[in-house]
Amino acid sequence: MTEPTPILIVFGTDGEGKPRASRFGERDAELATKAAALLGFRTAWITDEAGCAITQALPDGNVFARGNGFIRLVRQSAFDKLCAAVDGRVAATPEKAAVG
Amino acid sequence: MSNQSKPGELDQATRLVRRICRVAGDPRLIDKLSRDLATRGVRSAIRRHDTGVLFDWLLETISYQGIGNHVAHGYMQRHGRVRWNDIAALLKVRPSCPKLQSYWHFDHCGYQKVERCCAEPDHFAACPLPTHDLRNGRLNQAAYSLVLFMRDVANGDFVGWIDRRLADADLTSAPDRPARLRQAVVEPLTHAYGVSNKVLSMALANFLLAGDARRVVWIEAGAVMIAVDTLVHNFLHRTGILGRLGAGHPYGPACYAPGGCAEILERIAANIDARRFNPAFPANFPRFVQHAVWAFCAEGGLDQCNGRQIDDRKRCARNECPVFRQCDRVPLKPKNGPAR
Repeated sequence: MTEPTPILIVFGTDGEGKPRASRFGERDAELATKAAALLGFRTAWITDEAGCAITQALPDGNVFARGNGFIRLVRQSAFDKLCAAVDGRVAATPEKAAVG
Repeated sequence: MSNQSKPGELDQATRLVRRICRVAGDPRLIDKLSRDLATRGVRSAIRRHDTGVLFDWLLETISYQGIGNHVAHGYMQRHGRVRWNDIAALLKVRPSCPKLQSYWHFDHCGYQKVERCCAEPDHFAACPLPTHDLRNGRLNQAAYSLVLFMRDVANGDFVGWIDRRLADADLTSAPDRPARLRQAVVEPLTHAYGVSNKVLSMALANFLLAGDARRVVWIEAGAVMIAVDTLVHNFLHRTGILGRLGAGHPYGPACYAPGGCAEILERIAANIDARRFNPAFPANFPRFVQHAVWAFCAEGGLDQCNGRQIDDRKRCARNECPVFRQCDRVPLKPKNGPAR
């Protein structure tokens, strides 16, 4: 059986407290990770089948889009499932990141 | 483009446009672009990977969008130009505005020059963005957005970023390879504030075609970049090409959408071997074809097909036009009809 292709997830709550999450391919991973750190979102690589099933429901992100275009709004239920899959804990909150 | 359009319609469109290329095509197009870029220091900046010079050149090109060239040029002559070094230095001291933290933060800045306001009024007094006397507030935002793109997305090396983007797209030999090459560079940059697809396509076509003869994939990408302005769109409408191909649409974003002006010109160009105009040209050269159409229409070119020469309420009656007999002469703004 083939291993699932790793998917990078960027997720967190935005300045208005709304849950956001999107998936990125390996090609955009470096830039997505950089943008996520600057914007205070969390990142996680999903490599297992159960996680991949959850990420299927997430929209694609866009590393070149600014502001809210970078990662998309998602339903709270999908966000909670994602958080549980990543670390078993609840909602990620954005942290102020230093700008390099 | 309608799937119902007959192959014969595309052939007719190709014949008409081929004639335009004979009349208005510039066999020295790449040579002229090379000289222009060399004069402006762009070619040497590419060799040195000097992002600052490339930003200065690109922003100046963007400054010409949406207004007559002489007005834009006159304003820059009187008020000066904003340079990469100016903005980079101002950003280095970390302005307080949260929107200036990174490319991804710079969204909905809302700066308005005349009203002297923005979306972050608490930070306005200390903001560096309004300190540059550009023609309008949108240009100030475009300048900062572009600097932030080149700093954060391209990691300060715009040439290296283009090389990587095109190398990724170069892996494919799919039939949509021209579109992929074009989109690899143009699409990301359209997310920067205030940078239109048209201006980017025009600027990057010249840049890639004539920037460095040793970068083969750059030339291939530049050759397929098409800039659709109102002249080109109106030409495709007046000649009946849009109508025959079932692709009627108003001027605007639809020109770049599937089936729009850009795709039609690309399909026509695929049937015109540009090497017949200059053996050094690539065989498939949509930019040459589009430039010929533009030059045929523009007042600064052959001044043949434009609103000053044609009464757009009626069918064109200019029987001195070189393609008069091949052209459907569709009125652009017929009486009692919608404007196109």
